[in-house]
Amino acid sequence: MKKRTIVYGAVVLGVCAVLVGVWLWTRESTVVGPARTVTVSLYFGLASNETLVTETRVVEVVDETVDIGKVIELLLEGPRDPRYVRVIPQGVRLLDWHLEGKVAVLNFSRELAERHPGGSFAELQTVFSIVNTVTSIPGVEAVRILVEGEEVESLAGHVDLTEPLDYSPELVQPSQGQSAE
Amino acid sequence: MKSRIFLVFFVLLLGFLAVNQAAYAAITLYLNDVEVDMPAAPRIIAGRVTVPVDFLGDRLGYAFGWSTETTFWLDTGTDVYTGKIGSWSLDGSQREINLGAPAEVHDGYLYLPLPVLADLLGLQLSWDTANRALRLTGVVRQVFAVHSTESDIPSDEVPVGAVGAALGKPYTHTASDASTESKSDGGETVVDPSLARIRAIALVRENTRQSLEVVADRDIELNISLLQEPPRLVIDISKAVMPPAENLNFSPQGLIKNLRLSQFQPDVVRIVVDLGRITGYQVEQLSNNRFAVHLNEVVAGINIVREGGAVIVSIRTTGEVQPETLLLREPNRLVVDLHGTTLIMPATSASLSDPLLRGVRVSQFQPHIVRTVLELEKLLTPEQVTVVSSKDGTEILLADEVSEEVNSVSHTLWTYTDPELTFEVFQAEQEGTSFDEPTESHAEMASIGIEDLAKTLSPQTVRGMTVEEVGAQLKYVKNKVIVIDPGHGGIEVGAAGRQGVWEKDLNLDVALAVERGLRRAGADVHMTRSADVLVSLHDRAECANAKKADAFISIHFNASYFKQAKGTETLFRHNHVFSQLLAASLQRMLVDVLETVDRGIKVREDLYILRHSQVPTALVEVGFLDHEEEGVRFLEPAEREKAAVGILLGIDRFFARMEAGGMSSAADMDAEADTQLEQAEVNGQVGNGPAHGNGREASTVEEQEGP
Repeated sequence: MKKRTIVYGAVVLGVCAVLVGVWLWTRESTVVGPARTVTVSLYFGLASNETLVTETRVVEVVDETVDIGKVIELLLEGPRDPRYVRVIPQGVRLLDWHLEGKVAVLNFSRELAERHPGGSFAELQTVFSIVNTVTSIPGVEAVRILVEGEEVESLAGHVDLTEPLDYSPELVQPSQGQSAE
Repeated sequence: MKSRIFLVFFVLLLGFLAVNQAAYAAITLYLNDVEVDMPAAPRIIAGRVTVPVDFLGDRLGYAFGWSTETTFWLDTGTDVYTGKIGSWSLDGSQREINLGAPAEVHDGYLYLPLPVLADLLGLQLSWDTANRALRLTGVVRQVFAVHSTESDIPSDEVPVGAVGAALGKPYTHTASDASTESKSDGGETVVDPSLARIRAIALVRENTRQSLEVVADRDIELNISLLQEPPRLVIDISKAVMPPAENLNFSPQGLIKNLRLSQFQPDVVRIVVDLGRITGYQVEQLSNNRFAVHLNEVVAGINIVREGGAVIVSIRTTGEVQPETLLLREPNRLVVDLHGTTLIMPATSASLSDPLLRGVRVSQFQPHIVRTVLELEKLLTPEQVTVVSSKDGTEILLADEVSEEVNSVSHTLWTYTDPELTFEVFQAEQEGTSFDEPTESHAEMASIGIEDLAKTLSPQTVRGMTVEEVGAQLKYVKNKVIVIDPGHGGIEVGAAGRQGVWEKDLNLDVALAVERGLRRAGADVHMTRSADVLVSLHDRAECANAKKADAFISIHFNASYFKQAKGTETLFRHNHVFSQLLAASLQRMLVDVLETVDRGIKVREDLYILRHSQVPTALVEVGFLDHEEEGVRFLEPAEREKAAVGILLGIDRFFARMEAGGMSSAADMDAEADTQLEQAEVNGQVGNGPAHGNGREASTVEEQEGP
């Protein structure tokens, strides 16, 4: 009887030790340094060959997340290279954003649709300037675009915005792309 | 008093049971949505739904028979199970099956649990609460020559010496069986014990390929010969005897016109399979006592077409087959193996002059595989190869890198057809309709495909013509259901053009011109909008789907952020087998008529209407409104009419190409073919349910060999 109690006690202690070990180990691996940064790619238009090209920016990682609002701000600020063109209408603001798992939900102001120049080509450029940029952030795999908090069929009558969109390589200049991360 | 209470209770119980049974009597059984009429109602035994198995074999695809008065066997095609009345299990060669209820005989029928039966046959069983119905779905073998008579007694079950004794009384009580009994009682029950007995002949259909299975109670050997005039397959099974001849009650299906069984010699059973045409076959030994004879589909013709930035190889077969493709290097080539096919035409090869395709070779690679080798000028990635198969054949799309020179080309590179077969297939499609007009000669039929393309209008001949004049000359759009979608509308203005013109107005103008042309040509045209109104993208796609359009064309003008982009492009998605063909045909003709910069056809996965349409769909971007020249150009009504003419020619070309390629789509099939297809589905002859018993591959393989 006593012998059995000892055996049980040993087993319980062993299990506890393993659990504590696992906890410590996983805890260790998720602890990050104070000033971690990540490089993201901003997608702009290049008139000479009508493709999307990238410029990189370094952004801070706070509490394990990248501030997507900050990345969109950088995208709206426009390119540094004078050959590149911003392919998002003027006056557009990002109202708010949040993450649903690996899908970034971005809520833009009405100008994104209302001031859009139209044409499927221009619409694809606008949508994928945003989508490709945001999916270059580690952990983000797809993007859902809302306008004034509402789901819309599209911005300018072509691209389907009712479902999340992921990175589109077709519009990107072949030498560039999602390698920047 | 006590006994009275007991009596009341007993009566109540009886009533309850009766009601219970009556409730189940109202249950119907469906097999692939066709009601199965049962000789007796299902019963609940030990809480499980059981059905009378004796007479469902021919419908559910198994063979059943009594070995003795209390033991029976059940052959599901994959194994033979034996059981006993009152027993809760079945014995198979591999495993024992727990029935979950005892095998019981009621009103002369043996009842077994339906879930177990479905499981053994590889069928899915579901309960349809609304209709109080049990639904079985899956691929069913059609079993012939199944007897529950003594001749079928598996010799391992009953010692041969005991046969005579065990026989006399088959268990079942129907009239038909009684007659069989009296026939077989005629004193011939003593047979050579070393001979195998044919237990069942089953017809199996996988996609459209037919197979015949021969099942005996012990080892058999097959000797097969293919004979002509009339085409037939003679299968001799040596060291075998068959049950007393019974009318098979066979109705022609597919390639098999009739089945005849006879005891050709005292120890040879002969099965003659009358065929609709000569074809190859493949014998597969499923086990020592079980053979399958697969009848091949025949390659009726091959057509290779250069269509803008793609090469389309159409291999037409008499039924659906499994294509297997393999990209190989040194030299670069694409190998297309069609499993279960025969090439009756002689093997051949040809060199082609095309930037992508250098040559083609066709041969009977193995008795059951026709191999087509496409010799490529450059290495293709698996993504550039799209393989689609239907009941009419296999279509392989090779997407080329779109280059200026290639993109404007569109012509037939090579055609290889079997005149006899082309005619026969054509005739087969007409079967059942009141087709009493004199048919054209074989040669004319065979050549129809090649001449088709030449007959379509060329961009040169239509110069200066109005849409009505062009419409009057279109040959392939008559009665086609075509949905035209003028982009944008209402407050959704689209791109801004010069001089305050909006894209929505130009789209509508071109679309209405296309509509006029199509109406003149006798097409069944529908518009998603005919005025300046807002229509949601959802409603546009839904319109095409609801009309089951043969072609759905969305008309747009383009804009960019760069102000320097110009030219015509057509967007599509592989939402339908023929969307790319539609896009390529439209792009080709638009560019030729407008003489603009050819931006090519582009696959887009993310455009709303392409994503939600289920019919052949293309979105045409006629030109850039924000470009200096093009913006001004399309302000001219004459230029917009030209665009409409280009679209009209593209549509006509699309339908011409469909006919020439010999590939008919679901949308293209006439009502008769549709009915046939539905019928086939109802019979469980088409579908992807579990194929049984053989290990043939059923998947498309696309892989690339290492360097």
